[in-house]
Amino acid sequence: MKKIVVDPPMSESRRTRVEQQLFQQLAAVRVADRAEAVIPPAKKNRNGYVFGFAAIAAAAAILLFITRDGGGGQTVAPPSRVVTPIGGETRFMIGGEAVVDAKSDTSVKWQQGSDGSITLTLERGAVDCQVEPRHGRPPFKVMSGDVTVIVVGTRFTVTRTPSPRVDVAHGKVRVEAPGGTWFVEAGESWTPISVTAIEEEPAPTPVAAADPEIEMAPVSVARPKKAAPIVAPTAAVEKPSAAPIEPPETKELAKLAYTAAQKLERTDPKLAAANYRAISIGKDSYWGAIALIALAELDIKQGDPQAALEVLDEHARRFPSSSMREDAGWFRIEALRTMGKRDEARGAAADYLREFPDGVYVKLAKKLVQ
Amino acid sequence: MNPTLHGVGLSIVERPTPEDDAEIVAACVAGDVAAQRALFRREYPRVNATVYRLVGSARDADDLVQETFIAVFRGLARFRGDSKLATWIDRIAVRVVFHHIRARGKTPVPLDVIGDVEASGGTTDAQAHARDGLRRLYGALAELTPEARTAFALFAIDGRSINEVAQLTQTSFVAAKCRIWRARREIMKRAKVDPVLAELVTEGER
Repeated sequence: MKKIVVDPPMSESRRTRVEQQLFQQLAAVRVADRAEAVIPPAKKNRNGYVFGFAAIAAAAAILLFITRDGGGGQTVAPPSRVVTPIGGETRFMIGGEAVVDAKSDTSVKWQQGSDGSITLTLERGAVDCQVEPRHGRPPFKVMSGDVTVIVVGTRFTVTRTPSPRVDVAHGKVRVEAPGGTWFVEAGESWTPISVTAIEEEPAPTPVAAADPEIEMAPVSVARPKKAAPIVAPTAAVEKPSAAPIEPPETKELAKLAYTAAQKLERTDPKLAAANYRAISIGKDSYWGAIALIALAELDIKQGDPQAALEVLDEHARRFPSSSMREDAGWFRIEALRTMGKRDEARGAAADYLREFPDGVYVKLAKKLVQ
Repeated sequence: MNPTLHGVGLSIVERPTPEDDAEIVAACVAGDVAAQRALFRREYPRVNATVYRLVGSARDADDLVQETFIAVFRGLARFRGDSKLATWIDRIAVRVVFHHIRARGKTPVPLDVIGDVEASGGTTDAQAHARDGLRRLYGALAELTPEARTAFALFAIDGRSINEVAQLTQTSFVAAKCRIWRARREIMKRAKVDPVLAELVTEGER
């Protein structure tokens, strides 16, 4: 397929218009930020005077605490407290990257550290948090009694009273406790005595997957969740050496396991590799072949090109007509280059060019051969 | 160097537009609107081109470019310089477009959307033909998953390498490659029964 030429509209008038509108919006956003920092807006979809009164009371409580702390409208240091009365709820934003809904009869304190980290201390009640994926951002923590929730990026609810509970709306959470480690996925809930799968299927994964996870510790004993929809990383986390990951039985499970392994690459490459290995020996050859290539790529990234070559040999042996042969060819070149075997890499590049003259890596391979 | 008016005892303090990434980021974070405008003007052509090529609609592109830069300016304080500023901005742009595509679903591209694309031939017929081809292309893209569409458009239309696609969509090389490959397969399948689309995507291919 040739490169498709699409020339974008580039007129000066268009740029000027976009620039004008942009800076008008930015000015409006700055004004809104300043207002929000002083009085968080109450939820609009509540009916009746009771809720209206409660929201006003909550806003007044926040204003009181901000004023008492020296205020100034900034969302950093010293700690601020949000208190909602019974029957009242309120929403506030923290640093433009988290939206927190404090439920009825809640007291929550939040503070921004000097490194930018944000800590919410839930004294009573419940909060519903929607947090931007961290991706290198400073940590975001919610502390609820002796339970600490460290957010990587997800939407979830932490409840302290009447009893501890975590509900996950998007993404996946990891619960670590003295008795083991459990994964709780979107649509599921966690309590100290049980993990109940509410929905069998996990939420679809977006591009730029956020690796949404929460790490919790310590908590009391929980039983393993009922339905593990994929080659569960859970099992491996609980018993890394004793419980090998079982290969997926169906194409759908293999796909889900592959997605999970991709996410794990950043946080736990060993576990990701174990998942790829499990998928590769599963019943679905399509995902099996892809998993082997992903494993080879991961091996190269992890600085083990020899292991990558062995995986690529296995791929060639087991999937001689795989649609990933071209990638296998390229990763072989990469592995050899990483090992410093320049002549062999050049030979592999020549092989690649012979087999895939219109391949995606042709330019790179040609450079190498020359 | 600041020019000095010798003999008058005055010096004109020029405020140069910062060019260095760290400098411009610091100025933008400090709320220097001139620096923000300078950054916008510097990055606009590339961001606009990428966004437009991803969505195929000038109207949507304008909104999404604005959305991108709002996210950029609001998040600039968190830019740590681990990657180039341009790459960081591009990643935001791709994320903004991805969410837009996912939210919009499989809505077909309106007829007037690709109205200002200029055909290389320049004649009215050639322009109409080019528009038709692009409309069909974006119609075919609308049938793909947002992930595959984004990866394919970045690779085949915006001219990014697979490595860049992986970086911008924050996925692995293999995943990016798979998405592009699957999208290409679907587009080629469609091109087999659509000669106008076929001309656009396969012309000159051996």
